[in-house]
Amino acid sequence: MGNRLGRIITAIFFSLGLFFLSLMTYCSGKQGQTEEGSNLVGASEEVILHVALWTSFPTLDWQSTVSHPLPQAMLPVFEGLFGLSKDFVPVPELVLDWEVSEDKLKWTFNIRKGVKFHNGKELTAEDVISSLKRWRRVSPRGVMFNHLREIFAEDKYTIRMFFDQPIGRFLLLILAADESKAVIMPQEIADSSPLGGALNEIVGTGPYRFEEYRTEQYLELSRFEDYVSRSDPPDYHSGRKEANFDRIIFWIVPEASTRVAGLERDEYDIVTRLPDADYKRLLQIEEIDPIITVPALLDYLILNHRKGLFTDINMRRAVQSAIDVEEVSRCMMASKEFWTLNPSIYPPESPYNTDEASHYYHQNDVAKAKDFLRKAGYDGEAVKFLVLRDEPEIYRASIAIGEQLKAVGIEVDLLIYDLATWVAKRANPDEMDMFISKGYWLDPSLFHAEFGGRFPGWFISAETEAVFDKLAMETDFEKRFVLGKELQRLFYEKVAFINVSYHYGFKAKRSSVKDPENNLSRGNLTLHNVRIDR
Amino acid sequence: MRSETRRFSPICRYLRNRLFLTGMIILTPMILIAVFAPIIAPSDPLEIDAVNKFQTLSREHPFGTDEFGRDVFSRVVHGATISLRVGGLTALLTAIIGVFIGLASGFYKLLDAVIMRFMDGLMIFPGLLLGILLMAALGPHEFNVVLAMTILYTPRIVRIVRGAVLEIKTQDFVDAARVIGVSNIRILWRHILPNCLAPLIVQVTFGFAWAILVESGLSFLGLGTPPPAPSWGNIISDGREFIRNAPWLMIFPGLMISASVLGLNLIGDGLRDILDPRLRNIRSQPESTAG
Repeated sequence: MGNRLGRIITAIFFSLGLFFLSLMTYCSGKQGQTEEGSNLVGASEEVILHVALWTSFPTLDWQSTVSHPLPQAMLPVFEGLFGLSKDFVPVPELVLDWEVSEDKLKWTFNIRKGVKFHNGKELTAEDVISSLKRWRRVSPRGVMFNHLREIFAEDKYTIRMFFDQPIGRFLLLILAADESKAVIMPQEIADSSPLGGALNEIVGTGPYRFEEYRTEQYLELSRFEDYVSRSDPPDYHSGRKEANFDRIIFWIVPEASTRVAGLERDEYDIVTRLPDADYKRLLQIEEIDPIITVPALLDYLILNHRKGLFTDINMRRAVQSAIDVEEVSRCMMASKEFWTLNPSIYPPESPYNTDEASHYYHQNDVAKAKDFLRKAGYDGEAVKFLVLRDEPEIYRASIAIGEQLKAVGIEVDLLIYDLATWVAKRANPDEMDMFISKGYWLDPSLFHAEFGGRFPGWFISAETEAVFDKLAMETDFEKRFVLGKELQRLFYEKVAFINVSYHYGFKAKRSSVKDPENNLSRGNLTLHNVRIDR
Repeated sequence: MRSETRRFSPICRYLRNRLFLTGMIILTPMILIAVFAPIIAPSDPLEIDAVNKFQTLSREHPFGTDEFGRDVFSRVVHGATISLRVGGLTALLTAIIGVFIGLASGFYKLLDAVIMRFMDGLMIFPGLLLGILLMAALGPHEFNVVLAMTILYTPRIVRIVRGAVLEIKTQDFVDAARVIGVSNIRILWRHILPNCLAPLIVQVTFGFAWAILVESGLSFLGLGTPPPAPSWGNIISDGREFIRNAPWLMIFPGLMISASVLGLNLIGDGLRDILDPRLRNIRSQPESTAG
């Protein structure tokens, strides 16, 4: 009797299990179908671009953060008064034309008429003013507006700025730079989001509108049908922009090997931040185009100028003499295509690139380093070297430099942290002696943000401040170039930081993705005018 | 008859156990490698040779070279030292601490309630999760790894020892000792502890294996022995990015981890069979009762 009951119960459970199993298969099968359908789109169906990014966004407030990969996802959504051109010089984006007074104190900008925000509102001077005021407050680069005395709307489409000190063409670069960009948003949103990192709504004027962000999963954009494009030829951030996709989905894929595999399986059309060890292999695959991106990123060793061992110039010089840039670069990058030796603090793509004071660069001189250590009276105290684990290139550069410093007799404590801890520790003068960071400065004035006493490392000197002041006023390129050289010489002489390598970025796309202006080979993703031919 | 032959020689008894023997055959070379690492390794495991990076297997570099041009064979050999040192230290520390707490907890009823609730609390958390937490709090250092893993593993030792104590303290010889006026400490030390040793040794062996595995896991996550020290987990973690292009970076340390953990587990199983025949009987019992 009991036996039969047992059998019945077993049968019921078994059939229930089977039912759920088939239900699951059915559902997943359906999902697979739609997924496949979207990949094999015809003319009538939605065209979706799948992009794989390497990490998620702590905030969607582009004005307030220099962190990547936010610019990649926000460039299609937002526009600024100016954008960067193919040669990384500022070109008008929302601005129609502008003029500046003789004394470089009064600037007038006329914005384009009839530009629509994603919420349907027309762009006016008031929106620009509110956005720029917000940017000045929340952006780490807002300090560059220190001498802005007044900003006001002359009429619906004209903005005037009055400065206390003359300001040159550099102003345009401030407005165009794509890290913590001075993007323009509707006045009511700018005014109601006073805090950096907390933007109430993502509304811009770009060719794509923001749809949805699922933390750690994806960010979705859709085509903005009422986009008003410029009519001049496409020029990186600016010029004519066409939105060729119905939707763009940025997938958050932290594991590099997963991004590569996804690209090879045609799950993603464009993938960012690939390990360069895969370059040669991807080059062999016909359906995949590997892309080496410019400008080159400067990897630089920052020393603590405020506290500890490296307040002594001889200690800094010892480190400067010890570095073998070529070895560091080889350790950082797997293929030769991805690094270059260059003594300048400006990337090879910058017009300011110069070999001024290059005898301080790539010395690899153990005897000289030991000599400086003796002069400094170094007693074997361990150097606190903060190492960021999340960025493989920086991590490997740190390990290599650690070994090079040990070779000249400097004791090194490699302290390896995740991004959040690393950022917190580097901001504390007691817990940091050195760390490696990376970036690119296309214009000498841009160095002021990091080397004006505020950024960790806290380098500041009267001589460089004087050069920065001159640079802010100077508009003539030839004279600026001379000042740029002067700045480079001072940085080297005072060992403000140490160049340890220049490396290039690496992304890849399916060859079905067409990029007529070759914009994908420049820093960030610029997805307008990109299309898919399947 | 059989029990007589087994009693014949203690060493013979160990060697007759196939599990134990296999485990020893696997583990002994590991220990020798770990001890004589500086002699065996052909080059400095930290020496960077950027020009010769990603060399495949050759006579000069039997396990190839890594992304810094460091000799992977030397790194794996030195990794044995680190991994076995960390594992062994953890096993030793957990044994010492576990025995003290376990004895106290099993013998004194009042302490028992407090200690065991605390131990239960520690055991609630999944090991690796708590390990990550502890490492984040303590900071990256080799001894901190040992410390974190000791905290994680001690509760298991405590439970084993306490269980044994609870059983032994009701036995007649303990009562007899008490009756003739032997002090509690002496009873614990002379009469109870020696009788707990068998299950303790078995558990500590498993703890050793567990520690090697967890250390590798933590290192892989970037929270274990701080690089550039070549612990096996570190080598695997660094090689992860190059798995397509230089698989040898992950294969060899991976094999070493598997082999050492397998060896230790086999030894543990073997020891259990040898030291505590009752457990073997229990293992065969369920089959008869189930039928």
